Formats: sequence, structure tokens, C-alpha cells
Amino acid sequence: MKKKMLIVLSFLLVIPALLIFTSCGKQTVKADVETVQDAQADMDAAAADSSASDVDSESLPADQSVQEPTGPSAEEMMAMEKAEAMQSLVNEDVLFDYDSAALTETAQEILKTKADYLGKQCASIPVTIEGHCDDRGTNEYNLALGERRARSAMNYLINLGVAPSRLNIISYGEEKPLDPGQNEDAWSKNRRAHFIIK
Amino acid sequence: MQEGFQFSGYFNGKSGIPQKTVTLTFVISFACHAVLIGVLFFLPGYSRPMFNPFPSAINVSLVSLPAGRPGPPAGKPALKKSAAIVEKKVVKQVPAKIEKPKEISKPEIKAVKKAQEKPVTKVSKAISLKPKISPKKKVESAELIKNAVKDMEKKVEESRPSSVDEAISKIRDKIAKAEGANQSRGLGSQGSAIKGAVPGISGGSGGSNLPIGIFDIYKAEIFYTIQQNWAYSEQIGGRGLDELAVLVIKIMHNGEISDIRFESRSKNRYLDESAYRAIQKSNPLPPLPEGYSRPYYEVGLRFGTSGLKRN
Amino acid sequence: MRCFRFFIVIIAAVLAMTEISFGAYDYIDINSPSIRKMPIAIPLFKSGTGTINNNDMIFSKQASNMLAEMLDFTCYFKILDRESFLENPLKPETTLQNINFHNWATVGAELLVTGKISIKGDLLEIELRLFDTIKASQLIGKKYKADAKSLNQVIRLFASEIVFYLTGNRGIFDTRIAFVSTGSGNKEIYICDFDGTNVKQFTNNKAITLFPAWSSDGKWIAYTSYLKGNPDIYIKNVNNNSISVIAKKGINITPVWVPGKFALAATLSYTGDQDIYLMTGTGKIIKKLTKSSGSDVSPALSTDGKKMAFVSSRSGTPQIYIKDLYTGYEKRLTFNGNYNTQPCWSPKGDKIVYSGLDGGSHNIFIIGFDGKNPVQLTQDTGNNESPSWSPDGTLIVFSSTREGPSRIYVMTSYGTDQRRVFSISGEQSNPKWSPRLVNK
Repeated sequence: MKKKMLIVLSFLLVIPALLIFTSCGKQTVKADVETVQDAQADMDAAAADSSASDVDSESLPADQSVQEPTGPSAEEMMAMEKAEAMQSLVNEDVLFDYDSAALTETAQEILKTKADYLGKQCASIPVTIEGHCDDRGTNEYNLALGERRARSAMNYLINLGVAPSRLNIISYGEEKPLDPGQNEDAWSKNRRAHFIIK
Repeated sequence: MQEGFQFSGYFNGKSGIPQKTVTLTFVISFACHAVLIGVLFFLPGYSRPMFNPFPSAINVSLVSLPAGRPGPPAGKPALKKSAAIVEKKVVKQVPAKIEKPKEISKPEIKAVKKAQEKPVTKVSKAISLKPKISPKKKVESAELIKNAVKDMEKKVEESRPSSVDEAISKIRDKIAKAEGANQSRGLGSQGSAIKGAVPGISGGSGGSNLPIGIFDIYKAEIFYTIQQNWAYSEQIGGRGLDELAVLVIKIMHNGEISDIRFESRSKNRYLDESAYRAIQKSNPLPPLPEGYSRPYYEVGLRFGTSGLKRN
Repeated sequence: MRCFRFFIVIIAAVLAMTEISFGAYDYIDINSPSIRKMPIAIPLFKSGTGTINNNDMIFSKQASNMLAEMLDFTCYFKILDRESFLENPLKPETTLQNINFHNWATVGAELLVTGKISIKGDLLEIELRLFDTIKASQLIGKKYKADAKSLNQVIRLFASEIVFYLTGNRGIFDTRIAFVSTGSGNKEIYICDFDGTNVKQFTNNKAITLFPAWSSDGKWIAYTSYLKGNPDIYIKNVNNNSISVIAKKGINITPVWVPGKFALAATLSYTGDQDIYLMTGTGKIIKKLTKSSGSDVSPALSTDGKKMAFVSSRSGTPQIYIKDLYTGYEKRLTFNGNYNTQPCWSPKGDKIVYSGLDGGSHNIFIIGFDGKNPVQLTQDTGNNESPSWSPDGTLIVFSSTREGPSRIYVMTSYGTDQRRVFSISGEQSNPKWSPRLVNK
């Protein structure tokens, strides 16, 4: 349903609409991008057809180029990719086990993707890694544990080649939970290393 | 005439034994008795010998751990729960315990029953001195005392109301139960720990258990009244387990406390003073049981905080 | 015949002597008191002017209730209910001559406080006396003159006289409690008087502010705040609000003052490891105190400054350790449970109170400094954390969620008389008891 809706919308909106889809997941963003690109291709095709019959054509002097909607330029593509990379950098948290700062396999996979972005699309962007805990422990110890989690993620990235000077860490302990619920579901979301662009 | 002076015949040489020998025998016997008495009285660790046909001390621990709580796994230091937590659980039991002192007073009514069967001479021995005293007592002197005691007992027996009989039989039942329970739980657990006071009094008094029953009930009344008036804040005084303030009071027939003195003070001034105040607030006590022939009843009171739940 | 009688007499005499000289008597053992607090009667104070004037009545009611509440807070006293008093409220009985002590002893009072208040404009004159009803004697008699608005201070002075008489210690009436509350929208530090009255906001950082710590002279509070975006240590003067900062890279948390010095122990992580350091009040590092590769946090110094308790994860789980600051020797203290943190020394240095995770919730425990006799003080009452000892060693303040939102509670050091101190908007946590603040 959503896809169809977006296809319809993309017919009506132009490329800037891409930039509005910030909080969707990777897949949806990709899907949007694809559908928009498809839509764009359709639009181009339609425009090409119509230009033959309805539009007056003029021949232009050699040094003036025609502004044709031929799809996103390489720059725009890069911008889109960068935006996408930044989104996933920020949106996806690295999760930890109770009372631990050790990186699980899932955590390592996520960090590898982030390292990728940090190397390519998000090169030279400063990143701060926030360490957080669930509220089951005491505040003092959790502040320390949060920092250990952030440091753990940072060291892993450095080992993968990210420049240390770009990375900062900060701990919030249990002071800024993502989910205030008192159940394992909420707690597991709170035990995280969260990335922000800063 | 011959019979009457048979005894004196020992002294005037007519028995055939030389007078000197007789005298010497008696002097030596007397000296040995005196030495023995001296040794017994002044030996350290010996509590004062009791002249009393009303033996026993009441030793009641009101607050204690419920028995049989499982401890922590072995290998770890035992973790105790503080009084605040345990008291919540035992709160219901406390009122029941407060009433017990009234009912329970005598630990050794069983022993007393036995006394009824023993010959009178043994009893009189117990009354006068420690049982270790050699049986070479003068029979006549023993008889005098025995008679006095008998008179006293008659008076007490006459005055004793039947309800005391019931009370005593209740006590006997409870003691039977308590002793059975105590064996499985040990002292200081739920239920009172009742000890006999002085060894040797197990002989009981003059062939009857009546006076013992009444006075033990009276002592329970003393205990209850004074304990109810005893205010002690462990926040101020602490929980020194070995601290004991011992005071001795004299109770007149009408229950008035005519004298309070310290037999021994604890190192805790607050404890000593709280004990003194408890006694003064309890004045006058209930009147002494009828038939008590002495002008006042003297009793020692040992105040301690070992009954408070320890941290 | 004669000899026979002679001997009878001798033996009877011996027996009689036995009876008389060795005063034979029984013993009765009383092993626990029936009343666990000192019963004290505080009748309404009287008007000193003689006339029963409304203003005087209001003041005397306020004053006598204030004293009763303060004394009740110490948990030493059982404040007797005025309804049971036998005295005639219209006839003032404030002095030795006209008090009927027997009446007071009858209602169970062992101590009696009487007061006479006169108000002349803004000036207050109060006569306060403490009596022993059993000995029928006056123990303390004081006359105070002050501003009407200083009534609280006068009552506190007299309360500390009473406590001093009974215990040799001035008590907690000159102390305050610092704590964290979220009422303003952020965690900020607040201060209140020992009994929860007179709450004042101390920090206004509009950022997460945590871990208040009183200096041993009561003039400074150190704390951690995210004011500049990073957890940094701030030191703020209680009276004149002057502030200094210790902002090393990484976390700067759990500051605690060195007794008698303008120096702190705190956890810093600027080297990459989370260790406890000794530093001056301006942040200059004096010494690194712990070295393990895990987290070392929450230092707590004994009042003589010779020992430090702290939390370390070096064994795998957070546990409490004690370090002798002279020999450097470190020893693990807690072995029960997997999560023992927030240690606080007793003023005498013989015990440590801490919070331990036990069956899913935090509870307050006390343990001897030698690791013996751990005792649990709270149970089945939500999460109980962050204990702090009163400077006279009699009370422990802590936070508890037993009513839902986190609130500040107090209890005796035996774990009895647990009650909430006060309640304000937001959630309160992390209480710290100040030292005695003699010249506020």
C-alpha cells in the first residue's frame, strides 16, 4: 500500500521529496529512492514523448546546455547516499548485554557497516558515540559502564581504520533512556551505544 | 531417765567412751562443717546460697528469631536480616509471649512432686544448706527447722485458693510441652526458656508443692509489671549483649518497694538508670502472697538487652 | 544436758547467720524492655504573659509541636499523646515547685519538657525546661531571647541540649541533606534541613546534575553536571555560590571530599581507564589511587581519611573494596550477591552501609569494615539505594521507590523506623547527609 502511495506521490513531487524521508529505515529509504528513480525514469520517458509533439523546440547556441530532467546527477546521487549513510549511522544503535561492554556479533556487524560509511560517504564528519545503560543498576556505576560501552564501540571502529581524531565518546549512564518501560524489551533498547553527528 | 539422758551420757563419760574423745570428735566435726560452709560460700562463681522454700529464677526471652530459618549457602558469611525485617514477621507472636510470664512460673514442679516422696530429713537439709553438706547434721536441730517449715506450709496451704491449683496444673502441662519443644529448638528460641535456679533446691520444700506455685506466680507478676514499665532506647543505649544491671529490691507485704539498691552496675549508665526508673515506676507492686512470714520479700532483678534482636 | 543445749544453740546460730549474712534471694531476669524508646511528654507551652492571648497560643502550639517533631525524628523518644495528660491545661505548671511529677509518671512519662513563651512585638522570650519525672528533678533549664522568625533555631538549640544530656552527642539538628530532584524538568541538586523542611534549590544548570558531596566543613558541595555537555565536576560554595570546575576529558564523576582538606577523590577517565584519583579542589592531580583495568568508581573516605571504600568491577561484577591509603593494601569487602555499590562509611569507621542488588531489587546493607556480619536493612520495599550516614552515626538517609516515585527516606542504623522524610514534585534520589554545620 505504502509503495503505491509513494509512487503516486513521486509522480506529483520532484527530487526534494527524497530529502523528506529522513526517519524511515534503510529499506524504505532505498525503496523510496528506487521508486522515485523509477518514477523519475517514467517521467523522463513521458517528457521525452511529449517533447516530440507538444513542446516547441528551439535550437540553442552551442554554449548553452539544455536543462533536461534526465534523473539525479552524480552529485545528487552522492548527496542521497550520504544522507542515507548518515541516517543509518545515527538511527541504528549498537546493543549490549546486561552489565557488559562486550561487542556481540550483531554489534560487530553494525559497527562494520558504520565503519564503512565513516570511511566513504561520511568521510571527515565528526561523530560522537554515546554510551547508555538500562536503569536497573545504580547511577554511579552505570555512568562508568556507559562510557565503557562507548569506548568499546570506538575502539572497534579505530581497529577497522576509522581515524581516532574523528571519534568522541560520552556517557549518559542511565540518565537518558530510550524507552522508559520496565521490561526486558525496553531495557535491551536502552543498553546501547548511540551515534550522533557532532 | 536413762533414755532421756542417753545423749548427754556421751559427755559425762557414762557411755564408756572417754570424755575427751567425745569432745574432740564434736569439735573436729564442727570445725569441718565450718570450713566446708566457708569454702562453699566464698568460692568464686558460686551464687549465694538460698534459704528459701521458693526456688527458681524466671528467665524469659521475649524477642527472638523464629526457629528453623534456613541459612545462606555454605561458604558465604551468614547474612542476617535486621530486627526491623524480622520483627514484622514475629510481631504477631509478641502479644502471646507477654502473657506467658503470668502463667508459667515453675520449672520443676516435676521435681517437687518427687520431693513429696522423699523423706523429710532430706528436705530440711535442702532448706538449710547446700546438699553437699555432710549428712552428719544434728538431727534435733534439723527437726526444729522442719517443724517450723511445716507450720509455715500449713498456713500457706490453708490460704491457697483452688484457682492456684488449676494454674499450677496448667503450668505443668505447659512445661511438659515447652520442654518437649525446647529439646528440638534449643534455648532462646520461640517460647520461653525456663531454667531452674539453684542446684539442690530440686528437693523442694516441706513435702508439698503449694508454696512454690504461689510464689512463682508472684514472681511472674513482678516480672511482668516491671518489664512493662521498662523503657530502654537502643538508639541511645546501644545493644551491648553482655551488659547486665542487677538491682535488689525489698517488697513489703502491701507490695510497696521499701528499698532499691544496685548489686552490680553495668558499664552502661543509661541501662542502669533505665532499670532503676522501671522499678520506681512499678511501685507499688501487687501485695505479697498471704502466708509469707518474713517482713519483706527480697528479690534480685537482672536487666539486660540480650532479648533484643541482634544485628 | 547443758552441753547438748549449748550445741543446739551454736548450730541454730550458725544457721541463722547463714540466713542473715548471706541475704538469700532469688533472681528474676528481664531480657528486653517493653518500651523501646524514651517516653517523653511535651505538653503545650504556656503563655508567659499570664493571659491566654491568641497570638501566644498559636506560637506556643507551634513551638511545642516543633520540638516534638524534632525529637521524634531522632528515634530516641516516644512522644506521649497529649490527650492522655492529667494536667490542667489552664494551670501552667512549668517549674519544679508546682509540677505534679507523679501525674506525669502515671501516664508513663520519664521525661517532661515545659515551656513558657512571651511575645513582645517581634521579640520572643522562651523558657524551656527538661525534667526527670521519676527523680522529680530538673535536668536542663534554658532561657532564650530571639526574633520571632528564629523560633526554629531556638527549638533546635534546645533539642540538641536534650540530646546532648542523654547521649553526650549534639545530634543532627544542625545538619542538612543534599539530594537530587527532577522537579524542575532536569536533575538538579537541592538542599533541605535535617528533617526535610526548608527545601532550597542549589543548582540551576538546566542540565543533568548528579552526585552531591559535602566538604567536611560543610561549606562546599562538589557534584557532576552536564552543564557544558560533558560530565564534569563542579565545586560550589554553599553560602556565596562561587564555583570552580574540574573538566578532564572523559567522565569526571562521584566526587568525595578528603576530610579536613580542600581536596577530592573522584573517578576520572582521561587516560582511557576509569580510575580513582586524588586531586586538589582546583583539579590538579595529586595521586592515582586505583589501577585496575575495570571501572573503579564511588570512592568513600573514612572520617579519619585513612581508608577508602570504593566500587570496582575488577572481579567481573561490581563489588566493594577497601583500600588502606597509607599502605596501599586493597581488600575486597563484599561477597554476597553480584552487584554491590554506593558504599558510605559510618562516622565511627567501624561499618559500611551500601546498596546491593538482591533478587531483582536494590536493598540497603550494613557490613563491618572487616567484612563480617553483613546485615540487610530493607526488604520487599521497591528499590532502596544511595544510603548516607548521619554525622552522629544514628540515622541513615536513603532513596526508596516503595511508594512508586523515588523519595528520600530515613531509618535508624538498626534498620528500624523507616519513614519518608518529605515529598516534592518530581523524583528525589541520591541523598547525602551534611556534617554538623555549626556556624551556618
